Amino acid sequence: MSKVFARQSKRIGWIYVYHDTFPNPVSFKTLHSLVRAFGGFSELDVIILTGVGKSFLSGANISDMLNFDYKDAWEFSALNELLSNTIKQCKAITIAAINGYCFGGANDIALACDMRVAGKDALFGHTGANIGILTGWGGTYLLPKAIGTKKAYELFFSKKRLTAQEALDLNLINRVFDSAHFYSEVNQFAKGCLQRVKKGRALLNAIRAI
Amino acid sequence: MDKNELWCGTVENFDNCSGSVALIKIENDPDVSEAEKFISLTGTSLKTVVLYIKGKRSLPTLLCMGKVDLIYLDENAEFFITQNQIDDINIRFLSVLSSFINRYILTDMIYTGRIISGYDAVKLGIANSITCYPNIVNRIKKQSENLPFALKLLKKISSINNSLSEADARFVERMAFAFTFCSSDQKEGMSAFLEKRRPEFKGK
Repeated sequence: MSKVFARQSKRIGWIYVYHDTFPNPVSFKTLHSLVRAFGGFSELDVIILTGVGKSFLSGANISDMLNFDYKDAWEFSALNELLSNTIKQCKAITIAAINGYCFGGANDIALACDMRVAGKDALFGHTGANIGILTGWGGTYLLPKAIGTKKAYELFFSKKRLTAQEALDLNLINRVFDSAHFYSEVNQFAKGCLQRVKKGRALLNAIRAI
Repeated sequence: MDKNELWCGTVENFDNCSGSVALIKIENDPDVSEAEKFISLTGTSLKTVVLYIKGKRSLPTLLCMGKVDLIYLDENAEFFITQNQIDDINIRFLSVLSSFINRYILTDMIYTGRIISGYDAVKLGIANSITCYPNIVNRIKKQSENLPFALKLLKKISSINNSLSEADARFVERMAFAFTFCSSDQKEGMSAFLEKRRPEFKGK
């Protein structure tokens, strides 16, 4: 069962996703909760999305998806699009703080955020093809934009897993932080972004429109 | 239906390709006309097309690189556009080149004759990595076994999405995502994952 916790610290909102099954699979309920959480924090300056435990998020829960038909798959994908649009419409800078495993659709959710930071132990992969599907959460558009078409196809085709350093080298993420002090470093990073860009919102909208 | 196997060949005989993955070795620049034919074939193909490029290559090879999926290089690979070839560049060629080469780098190559080394090509996202040919044959051979239907679909929608707005691209992706749930490979892939065994994809 998944739960989404939200907490606010001054102008920074933290959204934590917890699931009692590793590696934090995303269900319909999780997506609805994330939409509500991002919507609720929309007026803050920074929103940080992270996972609880050894995983940021993974894609959908495979046992739930096994019996999906076309209509279920369509709705699941549409709900994620709603989440991506909600993230995009936030007035806050959105940061995906990737604390561990980040597989499948989790990459797409992270790519919907303005920035991505990861702990040294984070692992990335887009292995949907391995289970007979492709990403339905924007990855075929967002991943090539972030790392280039050839590298993106290589990730889909090779089922390769990337370390945080490899993800950084590919520009998939913006920073790598020490896993032991991950959350305090993310907090510092977020505060740094706020100090540097005073006219944050107007500039953010312009950047998102590129 | 394509067999899930590796086909090795050249740009010139790509139209005889059988198998769902094609590994094409380029040791000499093809003719521009051959490159044009190759671009149109790879642009519409559902096969995964992999290039392995050796030595110093110019415009025709760069054009061939535009619509393929994966590019691996020999350590001595270099790319440039000669002064004579600049006259051959038309709008269509520019659109192919700018689909995988950053426009500032492309301008530099055209106006200053900048040579891009293999290592720079990897760094700039123009190619995947530098490796030797036997390694790449083994790697691609292994990866091309047991390819799911979703990968063919992914190749197609990636190329379509390249020219769409984000909203349109998401719509196309959502249709393709939902469509994979009508495939036998989706049931097999997910069952295999849950049963912790290797999937046996049928490619449909």
